[in-house]
Parts: sequence; C-alpha cells; structure tokens
Amino acid sequence: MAHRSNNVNAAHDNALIDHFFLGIGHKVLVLSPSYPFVFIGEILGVADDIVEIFVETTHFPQLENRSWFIHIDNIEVFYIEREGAPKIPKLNDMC
Amino acid sequence: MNEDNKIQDDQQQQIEKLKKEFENKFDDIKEATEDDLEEIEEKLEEIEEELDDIQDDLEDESPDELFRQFNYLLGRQVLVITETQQLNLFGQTFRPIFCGRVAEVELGHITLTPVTVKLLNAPFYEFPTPISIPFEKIAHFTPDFDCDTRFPLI
Amino acid sequence: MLRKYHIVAIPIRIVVNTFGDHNPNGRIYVLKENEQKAKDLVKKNPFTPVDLIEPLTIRANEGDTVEILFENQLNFAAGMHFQEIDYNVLTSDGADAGFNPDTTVNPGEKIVYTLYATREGTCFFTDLGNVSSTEEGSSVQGLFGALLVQKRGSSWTDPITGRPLNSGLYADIHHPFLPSFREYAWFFNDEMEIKDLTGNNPLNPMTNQEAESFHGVNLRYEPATNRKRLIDEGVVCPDCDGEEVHHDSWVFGDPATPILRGYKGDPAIIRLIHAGVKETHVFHYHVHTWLSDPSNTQSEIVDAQSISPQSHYDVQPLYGLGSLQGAIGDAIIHCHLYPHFAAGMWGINRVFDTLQDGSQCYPNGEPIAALQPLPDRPEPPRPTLERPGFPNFIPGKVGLKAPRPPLGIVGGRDMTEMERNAAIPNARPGAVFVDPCMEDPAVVEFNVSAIEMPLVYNKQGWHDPKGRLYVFDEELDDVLSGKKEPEPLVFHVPAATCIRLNLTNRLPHVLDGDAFQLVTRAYEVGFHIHFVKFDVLVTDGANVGWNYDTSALPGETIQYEWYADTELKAFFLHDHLFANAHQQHGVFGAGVIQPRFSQFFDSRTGEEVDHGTQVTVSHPLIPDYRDLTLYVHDFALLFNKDGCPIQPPEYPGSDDDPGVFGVNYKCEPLQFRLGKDCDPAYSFSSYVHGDPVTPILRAYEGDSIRIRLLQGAHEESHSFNVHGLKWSQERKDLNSDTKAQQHIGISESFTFEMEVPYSGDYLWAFETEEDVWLGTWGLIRAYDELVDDLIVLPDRACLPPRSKPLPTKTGKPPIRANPQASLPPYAFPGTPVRKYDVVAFQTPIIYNSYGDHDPFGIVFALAEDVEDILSGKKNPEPLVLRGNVGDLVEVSLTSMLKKELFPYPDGIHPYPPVKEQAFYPPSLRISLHTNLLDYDVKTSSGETAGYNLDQTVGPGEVITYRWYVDQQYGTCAMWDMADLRNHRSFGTFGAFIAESRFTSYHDPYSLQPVKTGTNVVLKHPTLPDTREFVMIMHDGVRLEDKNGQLIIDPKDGVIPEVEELEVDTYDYGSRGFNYRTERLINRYRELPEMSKLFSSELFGDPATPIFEAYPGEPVTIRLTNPAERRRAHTFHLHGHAWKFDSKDLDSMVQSFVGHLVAGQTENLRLLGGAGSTYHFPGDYLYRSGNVRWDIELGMWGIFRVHDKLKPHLPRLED
Repeated sequence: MAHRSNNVNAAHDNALIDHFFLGIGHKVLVLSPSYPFVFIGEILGVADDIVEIFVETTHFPQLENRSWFIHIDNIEVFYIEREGAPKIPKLNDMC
Repeated sequence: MNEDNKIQDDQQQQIEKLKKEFENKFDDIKEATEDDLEEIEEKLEEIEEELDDIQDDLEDESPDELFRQFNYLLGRQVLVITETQQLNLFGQTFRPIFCGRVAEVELGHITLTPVTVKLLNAPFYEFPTPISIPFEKIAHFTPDFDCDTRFPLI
Repeated sequence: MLRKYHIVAIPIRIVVNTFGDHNPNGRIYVLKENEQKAKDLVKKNPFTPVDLIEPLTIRANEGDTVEILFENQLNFAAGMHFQEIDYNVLTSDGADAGFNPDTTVNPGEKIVYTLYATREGTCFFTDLGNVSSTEEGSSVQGLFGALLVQKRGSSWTDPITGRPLNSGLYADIHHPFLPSFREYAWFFNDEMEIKDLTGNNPLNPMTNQEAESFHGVNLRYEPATNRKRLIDEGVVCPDCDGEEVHHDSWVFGDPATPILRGYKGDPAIIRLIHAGVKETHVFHYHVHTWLSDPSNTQSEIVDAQSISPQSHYDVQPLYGLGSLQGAIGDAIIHCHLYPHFAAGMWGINRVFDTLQDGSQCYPNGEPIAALQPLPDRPEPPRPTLERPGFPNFIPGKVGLKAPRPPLGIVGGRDMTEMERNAAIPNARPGAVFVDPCMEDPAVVEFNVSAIEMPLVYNKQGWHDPKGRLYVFDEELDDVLSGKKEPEPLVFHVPAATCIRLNLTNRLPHVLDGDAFQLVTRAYEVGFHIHFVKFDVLVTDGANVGWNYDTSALPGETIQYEWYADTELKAFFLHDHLFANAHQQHGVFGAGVIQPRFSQFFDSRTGEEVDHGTQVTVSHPLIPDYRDLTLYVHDFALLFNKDGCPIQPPEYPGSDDDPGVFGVNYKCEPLQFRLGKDCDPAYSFSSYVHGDPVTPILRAYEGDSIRIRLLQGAHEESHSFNVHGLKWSQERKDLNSDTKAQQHIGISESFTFEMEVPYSGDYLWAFETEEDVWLGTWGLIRAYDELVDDLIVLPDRACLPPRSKPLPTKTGKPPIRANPQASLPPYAFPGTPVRKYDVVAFQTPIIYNSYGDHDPFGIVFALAEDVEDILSGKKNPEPLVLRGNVGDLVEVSLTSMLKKELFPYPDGIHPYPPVKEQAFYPPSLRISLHTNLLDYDVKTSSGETAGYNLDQTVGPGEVITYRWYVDQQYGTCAMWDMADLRNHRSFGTFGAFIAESRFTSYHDPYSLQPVKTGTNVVLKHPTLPDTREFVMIMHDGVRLEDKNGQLIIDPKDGVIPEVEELEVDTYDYGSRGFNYRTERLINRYRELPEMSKLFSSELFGDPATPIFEAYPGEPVTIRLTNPAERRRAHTFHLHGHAWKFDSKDLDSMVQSFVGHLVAGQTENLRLLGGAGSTYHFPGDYLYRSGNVRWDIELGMWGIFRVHDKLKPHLPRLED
C-alpha cells in the first residue's frame, strides 16, 4: 500500500511540475500559506520542484519586480493564464 | 359463376405471389439486417477492445483513483477544502474552502470554474479567475454539492 | 530556582512632582533593604520626588518559586494579593476570603507568601486588607506593585550603570538565545489623595476651583495647572500660553513623570499596569504600534489600549523603538482621556540616535544620564560637534516655546547647518530627519482646513454654535454654505501609499467662552495622527519634550508626510495642540487604509471619491464591500433651540462631565421619540417617528460591509452593540472569538467585517443607559430590492428592481412581526426545535440577607417557574436559556407587567439618574434580544427598529422568536428592548448559552437534566463533563433597604461613611452578580474591621452565588454584563487564569477580563480546571477590580474548591 501511495504522490507531483513547465512564458497567480501569501507574475522556468516567477505583484511593493523561486510543494492554489481563458485582473496602485 | 370463381382464383394467386415475394424480401432483409447487426456487433467489439487498451494504458500510466474520480466529476459541482489553515489575499484572510464546477482535470491538479471562495464576510464570493488546485493539496472534497448552500464556516 | 524578597508596607509621604504636590498619607511597598534609605531621603526632601518612592517592581523567571516575606508597618491589617501567578490559596492569597485562613497580617506582623511563577508576564499585586474606596484605603493611596516574570534563563541589569538590579521600574533584560530588550513598568493610578505645597487641595489657576484629582504614572504627575502658573508669573515666556505647551521641555524642562529612554531600534516592552481604582484609561503611545495580543501574530494592531482598574497589557512596539521608519525624538505616552492628560497623566519615550555616556547635557544644561547600549546591538555613533544627536541639533531657546520645524510651514524657514547634518539626503516638508515613505511608493496629497461653524445635532435644534471640524479644501464652500452636511473627515487610501497632507488653520483664534468653557486663545492647530509611519520630530502635530512645535498658526499652512505601509485599518487623527478646548467640538477625523489596489466610490452616485463616512470599495481580487465609519463622542457641548446650554457643568472650564453625546455630529434622544401612546417600545420605530438623523448605514442584502468604529472625544467609555450581526474579534485571525459588542475609549479604532445576510433594519447603538437615552443609536439598512440612490457592489449580481414602494412614516406602531414566517439565515427545514415559554413579570427580588431588595423587580422566567417565584418559594435569578449548535430555538414570550408596579407614577425615572431626565413613562411591553445568535432581524431581534415590524409584546400578547444556534458561541447576552430607559435597572436581562452539539445540561447537585439555571453540569459524549457557572455582572440597580429606604449607591455603601460624595451619573446604582449583592457596609456595621469583610467564618457566605467544584474539575465561566451603566468594570478571579480568546490556542493568558460594559460576552475556560495548575483547594474570590466603588458595593463572591467530597455535591464522573 505504501509503495502504491508513494507512486501516486510522486505521479501527482511530477504532473504538476510538468504543468508549470508547460506554463513557461505565461502569467500566473499563486496563493501560498507562507508570507507574503500571494504572487502574480510570469513563469520564467522550472528546475526540479522549484518554479521561477518574475513577480510583478505581491502584498508589499518592496518585494515586487524581482524573481522569486517558489517551492511548488508550497503552492496551495494557482491559476495559469492561457489564450482564450479569463485573464488575471490588472492590479495598479492608485488606479 | 365461373367468371367469379376465376377472379377469386386469380386474386388468390396474386395474394400467394405477393406473400411469397414478401416473405422472400423479408428473408432478404432479415439476412441483410442480421449481417449488418453482425457487422455492428463486430465493430462494437473492436471499439471495446480499443477502449480497454486505452484504459489499460491509462491505468498503467497513472494508477490514480483521484484522477479517475475527478474525471468522472467533470462538469459537476464539488466542494473542495485544501490543507492549509488559512490563505491571505491582500489582508483578507479566509479558510481554503472552494466550491465550483470541475472544468479541467489533469494528472497533477484540477481546475474549478466558476468557483466560489467561502469568505467569512462574503460566503458566495465568485472569484474573478478559475482556480487550479494541486491534488496533493486537497485535504477532502465532496461531490455534487450545491454551491448555493449556506453553511457555517467556523 | 527559589527567589526571595523581603517586602515592607510602609506609610510614607509621596511627592509626585517638582512643584511639591504630594500625598501626605501615602502607602507603598518597598524592599526591606531600601526601607531606611527611602525614609531618610523623604525626610531630607519633603517637597521633591524621591526615586525610591515608586511602585515596587521586582522580577523573577518562569519556573521560579518566589518567596515573599511580607512585613506590615501600616496601622491596619494588610497583605499582598498577586494576580496571574499560581499559589496555594489557603496560604498565599493575601486576603481573608470565605473559610480560608486569614492571609493578611496585623500591623507589626509578618507572613510568607509562596508563589509559583508558571508563566511569563505581569503579576500585579495590591492589598485586599483594606478595600475602602476613600483615602482611608490602601490601594488608592499607592499600595501596589508588580512582579514581572521573564522567560526562563533571563537576567536583568540597570540601564544606567549596567549592573545587576534587585528592583526598579526600568531594566534591561538579557537572555542567552534571545535579543536583549528594554523593559519599562508603567503604572497608571488615579484618585490618590493629593495636597499642594501649602497642604491644601490643589487649585486650578484658570477656574479658581479645585483641580482635577490625581491621575498619574508611576506615582508622578505633571498637571498643566502647575506649569501654567510659571507662565502666569512670568518665570517662563509669558507669551507662550497654550494647552500643549505644557509638554514642552524647552519651556519647562523635562517632566517629573517617566521618561523611558532607549536607542533607535532597541527592542522594548512596556508593562502597562492599571493600579488605580476607578477609571478606564486609554493608553496611547505616539509613533509606535503593537499587537494587542503579543502571543498572536494575527491579532489586531493597535496604538491605543483601553485599560480598566487592576488589569494589565504588554506593549511591545513593532520594529523596536522608533518603529519601522526608525524615528528619533520624543514620543509622548499618555492617557488619551483629555481631562486626565491635562491633569498630568503623561510621560515620554525618548529615542536617542547618539551614544549617551553621561557626558552630554540637554539644551537647558541638565545632564543626560548614561544609557547602556543593549549588549547584542551595534553601539550608536558618538555625538560630535557637527552631529550632536537628539535633542541638541534642534535650534530652540530654553525658556521659550519649541521652534517650528524646518521646511514644513509654507513660507517658513529652511534648515540650519546642524539640522542639515542630521537630516536625510532627500529632506522635504514633513519628512526631514527620517524617511517614512521607503522606496518611492505612490504619493497622494490632500488639502485640509480646520474651520469653525455651527453644527446642528438633531431636529429639535440641539446644536453646537462653535462646532469645529476638518474639511477638505475643495468642499469648504459646500460645507460652509450648507450644501453639504458636515461630517467628521474620513479619507481613504490604499496601503503602501505615501500621504502628504497640507493643513491650513482657518479657525478663529479665540474660542469664545460660554457656560461650558472659559475663553481660550486657541491659536494653533495641528494634525496628530495614529498608526501610520512618520518623522515624529516634524510631523507629530504636537509640542512635546524637546521636539519641534508642529502646528500651524492662524492662516498658516503646514505640511505633513505619513506612510501607510500596510492595511492598518482606520487611523484616528485629531488636534493635539488645544485638544481639551476644542476636540469635543468636533476636531477629529480618520484615514482608512484600505487594501492595495482598491478603488473607492460614492455609494449614492458611483462617482470615484477619496473620502466620506460611507463609501463603496471595489477590488479586483477580493470581494467588494461597503465601508462605513462611526464616530461616537461625549462632552458634546450643545445648546438647545432656545440657546440654553444642555447639561452645563458647575462652572465654565470644569471637566466634570459636561454636555451630552453625538455620533458623527448627530444624536436622536429617546425622549423626543414618544408617540401619541407614549410607549417607549416604539422609540426606535421609523413607522412611528420617521428615520433617525443619526447615521443610517446602507447596503443591499448579501453585501459585505466593514464598519470602522472610532471615538472622537473626550473622556468616557462607550459600548457599541450591533443587533443581528457579528464579527471576528481579531479581523485577520480566523480562530478568534465572535463578538457583537465592543468597548471603546477615545482614540481607539476597530474594524468589524461582516456580511449582511438578510434584508431589514439592523439597530446599532452605544447601548449603555445614558448613551442611548441621549441618542447614540442608528440603523444599518439592507434593502432587498434596488433603490435609486445606492449603487450595487460591482462584483455582485444586480438585484431585482423595486416592486413595492419603500416604507414611510405612518405615525402608528407597525403590526406584529411573525417570526414563524421565515427561518433564520443558517437554519434549514427539518432543524431540531427546542422550545421555551418565557414570562416577564414583576416581583420583589431579595439581593442579600440584610434585607437589601428590589421591591419592583422585573424578571424573565420560564412559565412553569412563575408561581414558585411569585409565592416567594424561589428567589428569582436572571433567566439563562440554553441551546446546542444546530438547534432552532423557539422562545415564546408574554408580558405580565403592570403600570402600578413601577415606583414613579409621574413617568420620570429618577434613580439611578441620567442626564436630561424627561418624561418617559415605562412601557408595559416587553421583548427579548440576544446577541450573536442567528436570526432574521426583521422578526426575532426583540426591538421594533426602523421599518421592521413590531417584535415586542404587551400584556396578554405572545410572540415566538426563532433563533438558530449556528456556532458554539458560549455566552450570549440577553436583554429587553421594549424599554431601555426604564426596565434594565429592575432586572430585565439574562443570558443565552450556545453549547456544542450533543450537550445535555444537568443540575450540579442531583445531576438530573435541567432546562435553565446559572449553575449546571454539561455532559457530552466526546467531551469531558464540565461545570458551567453563569456570572451576570450588572449595575445601575435600584434597591431599598430592609426599612424600605431607597439605597443611593455609591454614597450609601462607602466605608467609612461619608457626608458627601461627588458622583458621575453613570456611577449611580447598586450592583452585583446574578441579582445578588453583598454590600460590605452591612458587614462593616456588624464588625468594623476592613480586612475581615470577606470572611464566611464571621459573616456566613455572601449572598452572591457560591460556585462549587472539586480540584481539577473542568470549569467554564460564562461571563456577561447585559446592563446598564457606562462605567466599565474589570472582572478578576483569584488564583486562576484562562485564554484571553477562548477559541484561540495562541492567545495570551490572563486572570482578568477588562472593561466590561453593556452587551459584553466572555467565556473563561479555567486553565488546569478548578484550583488551577496545582489543583489547590480553597475559597477563591471572584470580584470586580474597581476598588471605587464596586468591591464595597458588593460586586464579589466566592468560587469554592472543596478538598473533600461533600454529600450535597457529587463529583464529575470523568
């Protein structure tokens, strides 16, 4: 049973990594339970289970406009923008 | 009198002839239908075999009950709760309770849209984008849940 | 580790400032080793403060056993009672409670107290041997101190010498694994006896009347009145008159009150302790913010904290001294209640930026004492001639008012060379020495003016002819012309915004005199701000210590800069320069820091706006909501339509509670809302009287709303209640308790976030008796269909168009509501139903065995109990109903009230009194309102408010409310809403306890199932059996003694008896627990020995409930105050503690509940069970923490933990 569940967990993890890999160049919204809790930006690359995102928007402006390396295991929910699908809303200070 | 008998005989003969023709045609049709049916049956068997092969292939690649479950739930509403205690969106904190229609199922995650996030102060808030949830983050879910149901959140 | 202290209680003269004000009858605790030195120093310095004469502050570590050898050198029996610490109540309680041995000692005797310091925190101690509220008492005269328990492994040193410290208010605490920090003890106390140099009561030179009583910090105070005399006598600048100048060190030198010193960035903690006896103060600390619950990172961020007597809080400034922006200079710390501030209840936190080794001096030549840098922090730079550090770069002149800031005043001066050396590279108006707006963020600029104009408060013409307020410049014309209704200024900015504000002073520089106030030359005004980050030297909007004077003269414009770094909620802003003179005229406002990326719209028109008390907020990612701001204020100095002052004080300039109240500059007093049938039950009904002029907060059904609650002025506590809605106590913390009530003191700010599930009119009210009587109530209106002048929230579906016209005033009461026609929002068909039949009727209530009773009591009871109560078989107690989560509770209520059973046939309720007494005959209708439960506000809230139908019943009528228990709230307060003015003094209240699903309730003596009761055992299949004690702490009671004489408390209850007593309206009335009171004066008349008055051996058990348990048994206390006065009480239980937030495992541990007022609900799960951690048996006092006047007046009782099995009380099985 343990062997089987290891397979399943690994399969899920790998599939998720593949999905992020296919999302390179696309905009993503990530929610994480760890500070600073939200990332919005472009997926630059994936290495093992770490995704590199150029973060345009997060909770505090001082932490924006830079690359963040996010552990895919720590991503609680997300949304990768694709053509023809709903867009992640634009977030402007002082709009 | 003879003429009447003759007419009757002629009519009888015609009926017999039509009957025979009919029976022959019927037999022909029956044979043809049976052949068609056989063909259809054969084709069905082939398709089933193919499906079985595909299924086997799929099972070989992902012996995954969760994946199959969600596939089965495509297009239907589910209530999903993920593992963490709370999430924080620009200061708005909420428990990760999501209710929505299963729109996409892939090997590592599902995507719900439209999806409601159950915030304490806005329990029917429809999120502006779809939400993708990694399988490994799902704590539990319940299928065919009416997302308009009002229930306590804490 | 065992730590020993030998402590002596001595009588001694306490000199409280350098003007020679002193307490000739002071009583303090000192360490034995300092006793002689202290006495000698006082003898040699009869008129100057002596450092050793301070509240005793000793320390220990978590895990220590602390042995205190107490020696009593006073002339009455005394002891030491410790809070927040474990001890054997039979040997170390410091009281003579119940059947315990007496652990106070007579004069000349000694006793050893053994304490177990289980937890880090503040253990306040004071005497319970003499709880007199007069100057004969102990606590009131200075007999208090604290034991500060540190983390295991800590050590402490003197911040000046660096050497180890035995006792002292200030210490540097060190730890091998944790950063060192500055620890400052800050003891508020009030009402202490004070004489001036001549031995008389101090006089106020401005009014020539007696000055305000002592309000101080660490037994010091620096009242404005003394410093004013120096100005009047020409000793200092005769032209520098003003209110705020009294905090100016350039003029007067530093105050005698505490100056907490540190370096920029030092971690620090202020142990805030209320050692006083009466008032609830508000602790405010400029520039800094902290978590209201330091153990919980998700708790509210605050910068002002209400604190009631005998309670305490740890104030740990976020980011260390100087906050996030690294501010330097003087950050004033004070009680925000203005009259107290003026009376001297303030001090300073001085943040240095250069090293102080004792060689430097202040500008007036006073040496700056050395300050050891914390050992694990970088040493600050040494002062040089070019950069001498604060305060020596400021170009002030000693004896004259502080200079104005460079760059900040439009048309003002540039920097001097020294200022330039100390400044940041991009110094600009409002941000010269510190850059609060880090990293080039978005900037918003506002132009605001301070103006004076008449403000009309209601339709009856109550008005303030000298209303003063802040207005946006672009709205000046509209407001002055009457086109726009004036309201307190509220502007909205998203987080991460740099705010620049230009304030122009358009006030007339003389505030005219009248019946309320003396003529005041209020020539300068400023904008002092809370919460946000700023350069305190140039943007504080004040005139404090060695800082600049950051105000604007008439006609001038000054520029401020602030940074809203994160979503900090609504921040209070007001004038600090003449606050006592004109803040109560309306000079207050707020800024609301909204989430980043929000947009704000006018809720009526949909136009984009940046200010307003009611706006709609839209956000791309989080739900849109209505943002609604409410400002309560007291000391509203109003005149009626004939120009007569309303509630003027005895003489102009007196701070003795003048004036009335307002909310957003409006009020709707109940006396004007009596219809033709003169029935108070319809005072809130818009059918009968039309809508109130007070704010109606508008939304659609299903909208999210955020209410910003603030208090603009001036000195009182208020209790905000919302009927039918509720919120999380800590907005960000999903594990927090749910509340529907909030105590507020001036300058505090709260945000309540909630959803409005059903349409209807929801009553909000500051619901203590006098407040609501004078009109501090209004509505939240949720429409079910579209209305023309309210936009739909952008992210919600449009509502159906209006199918029926909106309701209007008819002049007649509405028809009865039908609760059976709808289900509460969270209930569903098929929910199990629990039914109660309740009757409201009049019957005498016996409050104690001395015959104190209420012959006109009005009680709620189950129908089946009415006969027993009326026949005298049962002495009534407040009704307690219960239900489990998931129950639909149906309560049928009927009224049996009779007109002739009210004691005032003329319809004016004389006692307990309220301001502006008026004809308002008692209603015979009755209702039941609970807070927190789920119900349709249109049918089951109990009040007939707005355009809701009638939810009250008259004699012979029945209504069946429907309440759904959607969560395990525990205590829900319950009270009558048919007549808030007349009924509550007679007992129309109770409680509802919302229990977990599957709970059953049992009699504690027979274990048989019961339906109601204040004392039950809870049984549950998967939870431990628990004893549940319901304590209903109430006040404003009208009692008569055994001879039928009206008891006028507090005067009739004070010990020793007094001829006269000055009492505010909201201190009148008897008080107790659960319709019982054990007034100490009755016992004192039998045996005049203060220390014995709690003894059951001498007097028998008190009349108040005796709650019983065995050691270790689980105990939950359900505590509420449903009625009715504005005086906030502290609740304390000896020897036990609980989590501050019953639902949150991360929350702090306390042994008190602070500032209890009408509507408050609490659940106390005793840690360790009965007997606390060590299961010590004995009698534990539960009581109010207010020595003046609650304890004397009977607000105490006993929680008895039996050591042996008693035949009448079965043990809990588990």
